[in-house]
Parts: sequence; C-alpha cells; structure tokens
Amino acid sequence: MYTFIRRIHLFSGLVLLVFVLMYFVSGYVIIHRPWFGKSEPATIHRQEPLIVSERRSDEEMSRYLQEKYGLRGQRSPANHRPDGSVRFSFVRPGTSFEALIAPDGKSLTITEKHLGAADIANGLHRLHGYHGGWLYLLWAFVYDLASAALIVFAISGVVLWFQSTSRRLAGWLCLALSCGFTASMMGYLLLSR
Amino acid sequence: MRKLILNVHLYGGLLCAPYLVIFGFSSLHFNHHFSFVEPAPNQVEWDAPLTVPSMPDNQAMADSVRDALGLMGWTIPWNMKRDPSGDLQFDLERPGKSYTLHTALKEGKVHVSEHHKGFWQVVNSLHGSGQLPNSRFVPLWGVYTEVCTWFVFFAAASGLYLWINTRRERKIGVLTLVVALGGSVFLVLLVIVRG
Repeated sequence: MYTFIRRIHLFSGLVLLVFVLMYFVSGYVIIHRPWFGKSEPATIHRQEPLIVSERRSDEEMSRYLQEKYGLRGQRSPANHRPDGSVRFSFVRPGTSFEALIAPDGKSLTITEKHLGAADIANGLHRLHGYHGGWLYLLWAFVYDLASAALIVFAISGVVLWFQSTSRRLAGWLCLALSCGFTASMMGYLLLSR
Repeated sequence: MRKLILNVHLYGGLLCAPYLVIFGFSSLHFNHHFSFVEPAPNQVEWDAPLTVPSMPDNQAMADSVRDALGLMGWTIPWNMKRDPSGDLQFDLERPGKSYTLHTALKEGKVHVSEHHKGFWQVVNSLHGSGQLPNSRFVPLWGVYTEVCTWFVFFAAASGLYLWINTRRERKIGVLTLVVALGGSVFLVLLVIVRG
C-alpha cells in the first residue's frame, strides 16, 4: 500500500510538475502584481462591415468572426446588450479581442489589446473552462489534472508521513497547526459580523 | 543533508496540506462552477445606530459608515446610490458575506441587509485572499499563502532530489518526466503563440 501511494505521489508530481509550478508562479505574479510593473495595454480599434446572409447562432457567429477577422483566442459566450448590440470576446494569454456588433447588425467594432509579460502570466492563470476550441478543451483538461493533483499531493503526502514513521508527534503538531489555522480562518469569515 | 531535505519536504507538506487542498478545490470550481458552491439565499436584516457626518463623496461616506459599524470588506464604488435627502445606499463585499447598507442619517441609524454566502464560498475565497479592510486576521492568510507558494517551489525541487537519490523507478520516472515536461511546455507555448 505504501509503495502504491508513494508512486501516485511521485508520478502525479512528475507528470504535472510544469503545470503546478506554472500556476504557483503565475499566482505569485498576481498576488504581487505591483512588483512586476504596470504596463498599459497597446490597444487597436478598427471598424469592419459585417455581411452575413443567413441567420447564425451565437456559437456559429463567434466562430465566423474568429475565422473571418483573425480574432484568435478562447471564445466566450456572447453578451446581448440592452441597446441591441452583441459583444463577442476572444482571449488568449497576453492578447484579447472584443468584437461589438452594432444594433443594426451591419457593422462591427473590433478592439484588440496586447498586454505585457506579467499579464501573460495572469492570462495563463485565469484561462479555464471547457469551451472555445480544442486547444482550450485540452488546456482545461490539464488544468483539471493539475488542480486534482494538488489534492492528491496533500492527501497522499499525509498518508506517506503517517506510514513512514512511528514518531509522529511533530507531524501531528504541524497538521494540527495548519488545519487549526485554516478552520479558524473559515470560522472567522463565516461567523464574524 | 538528504535527511534534512526530507524532513522539510515532509513537515512543510503537513503545514501546507490544507492550502493545497483549498487551492486544488477552488481551481476545480473555477473550471466547472459547481452548483453546490453557489451561495444559497440566506439573508438577515438588522438596524444599527449610526453617527457619521454626511459627506459629499460617496466612497468616503461609505467607508466611514463601514468603519463606524466595524464591518469588514470592500465598498463597491460602482454600486452606490444617493437619495435626495442625502442618505446613501451601497454594497459591501467580503469573503463569506455581502451587505447592502442604507443610511438614515436623520434617524441616526443604518439599515443593513446581510447575505451569508455559505461554507463553500468561503473555501473558494481562500484561493487568494490576503487583505481585507478592517481585518487584522485575514492578512495572516496572505502570509500563509506566501509560505505555501514558496514551499511548493521547494517541494518540487526537493521531491526531484529525493526521487533521484533513491534510485527507484529511475528509468520510467525520467521517461515520464521528459515526456510530461516536453508536452506541458509545448502546450503552454502553443496557447501563448498560436492560441
């Protein structure tokens, strides 16, 4: 049993090393954003005519806009605004496109934003969801594996510690401290006014 | 040296295990939006005495009311309404709870609608909490997050070191590492460059 759990701990670490580290590095950049400099995105606006003969669903229209106007990135659900315009967003780390179709449906405004290196890290960290094309489906799957791996590391690590030593006082103290602190923080946020 | 590294890996892991579970769970939630995490409707209404001067600036007045009541959280600048009488309605957000406050300055009180977000929302909020206005306890979670982040870097390096030194599963491990490393780096670059 010990060997089996050790192998799970080891191989989940080896397989997902890059992704787990990427999430902690990019998370660190997000937490300490001011340390990494603030850069204004380079923004480009352009107007394009929109000639669509047949009626399309939001998903079809999103795909069409992406192909026709070269708007690369993860497609997001369309946003139908009160004035009748429809907004489509396409995001990939470091670059975002917004296509706003006019209420009359005959033209669109494309806003393209190019961000700096710290924002690429931010984009990698926040890229999730099973939508937007095969590359993003694959990304979301690996993201799931990396997320689940963190839970597996923690649980298998505790089991390995428990099975590998008979002198457990220091370990119990560490575990009690971390679990107690976490439970206190949760209780504080749940119960305090 | 190996024993020291093993002990730091082991006991550091025990210290950071809850954070890893929370980080992993909340990341899964961001990908799947689990319905049980969404806050259930749970609202409490209460009034409290209030003695703050009326201020022309909405943000300053909202902060002043929050501080007078000893509430924690961020006032939401884009969601403030001023009555003709000079009273202010605003929202206050924090992990675990959100509030809508409506002052009644002439009566010297404030009406508060307090929404409880529930356990799973609190778990989710601990993904990256570090600062919370009017709280001296929550910044400690920021310190814990920082420690755990550095521990993960250490755990990755020390885990590799410990594995290489045991000589067990060497071939299959190296093969797995090379394939996974190449695949992961390729995927990250593909998303950045060709996404």
